[in-house]
Amino acid sequence: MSGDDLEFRDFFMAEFERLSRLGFLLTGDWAEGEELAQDALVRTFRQWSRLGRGKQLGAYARRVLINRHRSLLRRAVVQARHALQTHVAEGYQPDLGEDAMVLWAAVRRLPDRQRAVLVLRYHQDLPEAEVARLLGLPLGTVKSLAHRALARLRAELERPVEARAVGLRKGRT
Amino acid sequence: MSVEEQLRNLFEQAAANGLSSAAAYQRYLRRRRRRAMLVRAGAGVGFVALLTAAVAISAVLPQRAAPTAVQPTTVAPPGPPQVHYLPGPRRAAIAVQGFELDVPTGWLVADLGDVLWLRPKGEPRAKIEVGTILVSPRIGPGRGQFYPTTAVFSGIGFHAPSGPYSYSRRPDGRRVLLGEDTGGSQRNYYVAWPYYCRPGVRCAPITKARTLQIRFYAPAAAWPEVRRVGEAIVRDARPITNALPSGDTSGVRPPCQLNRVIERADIYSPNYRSDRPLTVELLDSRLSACHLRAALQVVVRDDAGQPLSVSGGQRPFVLEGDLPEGSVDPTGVYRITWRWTNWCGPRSVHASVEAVGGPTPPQLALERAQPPRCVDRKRPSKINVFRVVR
Repeated sequence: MSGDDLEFRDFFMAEFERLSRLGFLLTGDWAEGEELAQDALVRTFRQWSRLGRGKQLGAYARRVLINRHRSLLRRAVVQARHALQTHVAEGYQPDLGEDAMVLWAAVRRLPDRQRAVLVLRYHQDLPEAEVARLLGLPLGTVKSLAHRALARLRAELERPVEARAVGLRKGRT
Repeated sequence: MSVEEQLRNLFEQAAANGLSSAAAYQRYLRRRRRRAMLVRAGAGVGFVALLTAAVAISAVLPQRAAPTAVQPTTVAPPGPPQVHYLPGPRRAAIAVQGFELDVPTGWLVADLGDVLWLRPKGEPRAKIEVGTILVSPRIGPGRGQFYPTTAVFSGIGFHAPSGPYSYSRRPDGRRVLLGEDTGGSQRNYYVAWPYYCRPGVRCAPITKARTLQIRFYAPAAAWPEVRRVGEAIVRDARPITNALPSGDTSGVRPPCQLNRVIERADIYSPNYRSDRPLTVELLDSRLSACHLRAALQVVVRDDAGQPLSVSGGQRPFVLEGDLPEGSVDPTGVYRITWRWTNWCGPRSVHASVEAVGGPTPPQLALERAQPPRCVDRKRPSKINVFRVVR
């Protein structure tokens, strides 16, 4: 194993979990999350010697992952491929308390861009300007997406328990 | 607690059970090797393109009589992709998807994949993508023309473009669907493009639901030109090979590029609580003519990615045949189900179905299955092939 390989292996071990979690939160599926993380790391390795060994490598891999996710969302071809996999439509259900379960279901129902903004803001703790740069959106759009997403989640959490139960059942069918 | 704080907690909790880095690193190394192989294979594209061009020409020559019996299949050398130029005027085609078109002056083939990508020279942000795809029969442009409006194709996942929809007809009578018709600098057209099987082959009904997708988008400045060329392709793309009623009589087909779905469905198991059914469905996503050969096995691994011994596991099962035609299953899908029973070991293991052997085994995404319930500690855990449809 070359020196580059050994260094990259350490980098992989340090970054993979973080990236796969980001991929999971963006897609709601661990398999897809790993797919995104693996793809981002393969692409990062290709640029390994050019990028140097600075701290920006992790940020670079994250940017590659987000770009990849964006392009997957854009490409109808890939959407179609995913549509062919509708047999696995039963989404991953994390082990959460009842309130968190309601919030999780509501987050899963958000449009992709709104969910991506929330994940980058509240899981990755990135400032809005950085979220806008990563998603290739104007800052104002990011602000309004976040505002609308939070408003929807608040409304969901304020719904009566009976109505939530119906919503959850519908969401699972 | 504010909704923002709840979100932070939620994301932490939901993503708490992360994936093992050690096992993932082994998968990463395999992926990197595959990518390197693909780059090397790219050097052979020219050769493959010439070969497939020769095949397509021989298939469309009018003087060649169609045989009346099924011909043996010859598998073309593996290697991407099946895009080629034909001699004479600038024409591009994907023979296994049954279409060809003229490449306008000032345009070039931008990318070679399982779709044909065209773009105007000097404008990399504009693209036209052309390739076959299965559209939901409920809205598909072929309904009422190539299959009944009431046709039901169960067991298949379809591409379902969102509305609003509008329908029209090409000069040759084929119906055209314009989906996601929301204006702006993007269009998604679907032309009815049924697949015809070789003479003598029982043809799965699903083959008639194939469409030719023409998708184009561009920045505002390039949009008028891109739209003009894109709509010309919608109108003028020509059927060849398996899109002609005589079917693809060449008998030559490349190895399948597969989509795979592993389904944990209780319908295959009489006793779902104690069994863990693992079902793999194999379907060419473009509904193209291709040859399937896949040796598949079930492997149980621990968290570190190390394989564990299970009676009957790791015994490869070979599926071989031509897709989409020639399949017994009316959906045109090959399906194999294993049954995994009686796991009394640690719960932190998972089973996956893996392709093994051959110079270029199919590269397919895997869905991992959790272990079944422990029924009898004195008896071994077993994995058996339970049902095969081919």
